[in-house]
Amino acid sequence: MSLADKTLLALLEGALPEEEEQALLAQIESDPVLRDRLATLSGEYILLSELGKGIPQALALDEEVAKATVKAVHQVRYENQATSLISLGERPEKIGSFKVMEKIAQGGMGMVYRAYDETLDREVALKVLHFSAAADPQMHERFLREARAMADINHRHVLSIHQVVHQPDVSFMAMHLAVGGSVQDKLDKTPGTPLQIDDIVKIAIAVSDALSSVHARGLVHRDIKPSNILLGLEPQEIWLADFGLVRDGQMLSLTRSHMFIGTPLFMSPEQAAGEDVDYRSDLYSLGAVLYTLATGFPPFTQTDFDELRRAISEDRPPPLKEKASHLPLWLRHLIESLLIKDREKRPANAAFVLDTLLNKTDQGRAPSRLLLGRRSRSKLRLKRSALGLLSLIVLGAMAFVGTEQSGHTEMVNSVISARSGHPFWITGQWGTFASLEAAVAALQHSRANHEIAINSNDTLGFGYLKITQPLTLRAANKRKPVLSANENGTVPQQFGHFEVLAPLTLRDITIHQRSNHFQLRPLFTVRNTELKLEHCRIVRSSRTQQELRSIERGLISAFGSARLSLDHTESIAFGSPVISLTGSGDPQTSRPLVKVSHSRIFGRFLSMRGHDVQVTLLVNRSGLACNYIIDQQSPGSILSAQVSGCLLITSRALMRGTVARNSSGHPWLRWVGRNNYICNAGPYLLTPDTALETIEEWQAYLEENDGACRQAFHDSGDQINIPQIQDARIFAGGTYELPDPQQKHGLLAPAPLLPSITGPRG
Amino acid sequence: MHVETRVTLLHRITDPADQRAWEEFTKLYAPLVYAFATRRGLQHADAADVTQDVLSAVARAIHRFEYNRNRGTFRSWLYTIVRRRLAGFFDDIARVRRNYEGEQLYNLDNHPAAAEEEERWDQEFRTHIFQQATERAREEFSEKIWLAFSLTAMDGISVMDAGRKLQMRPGAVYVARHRVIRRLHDIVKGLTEEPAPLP
Repeated sequence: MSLADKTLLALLEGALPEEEEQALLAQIESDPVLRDRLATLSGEYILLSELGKGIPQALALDEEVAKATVKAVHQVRYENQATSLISLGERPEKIGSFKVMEKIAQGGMGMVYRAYDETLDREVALKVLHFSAAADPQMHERFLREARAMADINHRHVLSIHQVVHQPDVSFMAMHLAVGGSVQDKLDKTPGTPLQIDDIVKIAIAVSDALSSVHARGLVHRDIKPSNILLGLEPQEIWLADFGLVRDGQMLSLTRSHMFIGTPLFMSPEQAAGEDVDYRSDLYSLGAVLYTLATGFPPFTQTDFDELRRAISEDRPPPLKEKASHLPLWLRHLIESLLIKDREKRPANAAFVLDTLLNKTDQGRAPSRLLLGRRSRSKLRLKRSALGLLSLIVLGAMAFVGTEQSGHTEMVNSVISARSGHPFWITGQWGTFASLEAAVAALQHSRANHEIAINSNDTLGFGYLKITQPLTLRAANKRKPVLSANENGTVPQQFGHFEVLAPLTLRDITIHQRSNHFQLRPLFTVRNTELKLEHCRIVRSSRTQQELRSIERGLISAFGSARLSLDHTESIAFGSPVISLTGSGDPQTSRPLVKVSHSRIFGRFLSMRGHDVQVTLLVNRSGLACNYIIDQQSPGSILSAQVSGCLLITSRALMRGTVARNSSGHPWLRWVGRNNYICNAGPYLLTPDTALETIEEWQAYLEENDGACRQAFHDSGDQINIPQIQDARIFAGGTYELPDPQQKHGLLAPAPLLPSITGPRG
Repeated sequence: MHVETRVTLLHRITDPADQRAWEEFTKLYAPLVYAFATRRGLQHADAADVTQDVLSAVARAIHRFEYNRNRGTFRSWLYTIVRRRLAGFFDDIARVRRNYEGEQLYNLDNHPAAAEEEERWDQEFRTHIFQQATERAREEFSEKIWLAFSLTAMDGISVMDAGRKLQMRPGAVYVARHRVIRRLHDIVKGLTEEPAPLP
């Protein structure tokens, strides 16, 4: 660029100093060549032919013609979505190692071909990115996102992806070839005619099943429509496809540029309004698809885009009662509930929809082929459906054609995973929930044995969880979730945050309970059932004065014959016992069992209060650093303990009790200890009127009751402080140390505890 | 109305999800096609039909254009479609005329030569796009800046005179005019992918 040009451009940008500008302007006035050059540089010449004539009149088009044209274009685009646009001449012969055979469909980003995979000798569907799209980084990103989403989901009702090739010159993905075409094709064969009810239900089951898996990964499909539901030859072969618009919480920016995304006929009110969408938008679209299958027409048929959007946001679709009166009532209700404008009021999640579909079809309320998609069931269940069938036959309602029992899904052990973000989700293989409470509550209603995996590294709040069905709550693979127990103020204090009425297992989970007052409810109340903590960390802290930090409700408060087990678990609860045991009032059902192994306990350990209990305590290879290890506050309670390979450190007393001997004159404690290291600062047994200060006194007390301390090291001389741990450090997951007895006492001491007391993983 | 310059309108209409783009596109080109057809002698209803046909054909075939993007301008591609539709229309008329001899529906003898006709299309196309661009650009600039542009670039008033009239330094008039022109280029390019970018 010449110097003169540079100066002229500087003038155009307003970047010249005033004097220079003055001089240049004067020069321009007198120099036509310079003026000409300036015009060229400012781009005037390209517009010259237009500029010379002034601003032209706008071309008029009457409103009706404009509208009709928009309508015509929409019509074409709608019809055209799956039809051929590219002539055969433009079809590539070969892409990668795939021999291209014919074009199946055309999307916004590319073509879909039927192709032959020479290496594996099979036919596949090949989705190839457009040349023009390939140059666009946004399109590239979208293409890759789709591939990743599909590869990740791997679900029987999600079209599987075989291979992705992503190169500068060509990008494509090879997918399973759905030979049965799409549901749209099926609709097109007989336009305006509804599908058979069993077909509708089958499709509904498959799509809701697929969606629950999609949503479990925190993804939203956003483009549920008949042309994206593909079919195989077998009736159960139904696949959800085209994840080109799929999105998760992190991907907002990519799609913001498109104000409206998704097929308008099936899009949700929130999509139509251009709002952020979540999984509930897919539920609406599913409803719109089912409505279309049931009536032959989409819920809204406006062809003008703005008009359609308005209708989706405001109008009620023609009621199914009129348009599809042949549908069973429950199915009409289900479809209409999915089409509710307010997403809060739609069915909670795809799992709920699936569950409804499965249950309703199972229980004989849907006509014909009742056991659609069902799997092997318990005998009771079969009986029940047989009864349902029988009653219907007796009623003479209709003839039955086959009660096929096909399908291969088993809804046992559902995995629910949480994914935090905004909004906070807990999602599952067949469920997506707004909170942990909702997830647990939903699972409790189903009959099967369930497992919830929390797929998050974040701190997730929860208030009150009532466990009425066996449940395992665990971290998803390699995740380290923290559950934070928050008061929600609606549940009486005596209930724990977890009210355990059926066996509960926690694995790889950290639970925090903290408060500024000391009116803390138990973290767990276990009533006559089983609680297992494996590789967990449970921490309680109340920020009060030291003297007020005495909370008699244990972190785990067990009633009756509860079975508690702590394995590789760390518990910290200063001022309150980790475990408090209360009987039921009946000796027969007041026999709790407590097992602790490879665990570390800080604070206080075990307290017996209220109704008497007969406790069996098994502690193995664990470290307990406590004020009191055992606290007996119910005079009739009996403790039978086997403690081996443990490190016991106390600052006040090993045991504390209301009495030394119970009413029959026998010691209440039976203690069989082997290979323990006991470092006790105070008496071994402390009661209001007795104190067994020495090991000999204590030993005598134990032997009266068949107890003994074998091969134990007793170290009362050294004052060993219980590790002082600051709240902040605890909650940050900080570590602390227990002394290694072997360093002090040599090889005779118990084997080092700490390496084997691993506590929580990680 | 703001036109995104990074992603052109033509690019956006190939995205089936981008419903808005098609509305914008139709509203932009339907008046042009309609006016062109009317100028060729078609009556309102016929011109409306042709307009619908042309836009539908574009919707059907835009991917083909996208596919061969480097082979020509959108302007000439669109013209091919318009010409074919009009030819088809006049063929029908001719057939009708053979049956109803004597009833003069359209004066087919007044066809301009093909080259002239294409030139006219080009002119109308560019004028229309320019008009649309000015309409869109107008909203983005202040009165003063717009006048600095329109007085000097379109009404032929000299920069000095315009500066005096608007109480602007002549340098500022140049800057203002340049900003508007640059924006017009951007908008035109966003709509048609023509002309070539500025130096």
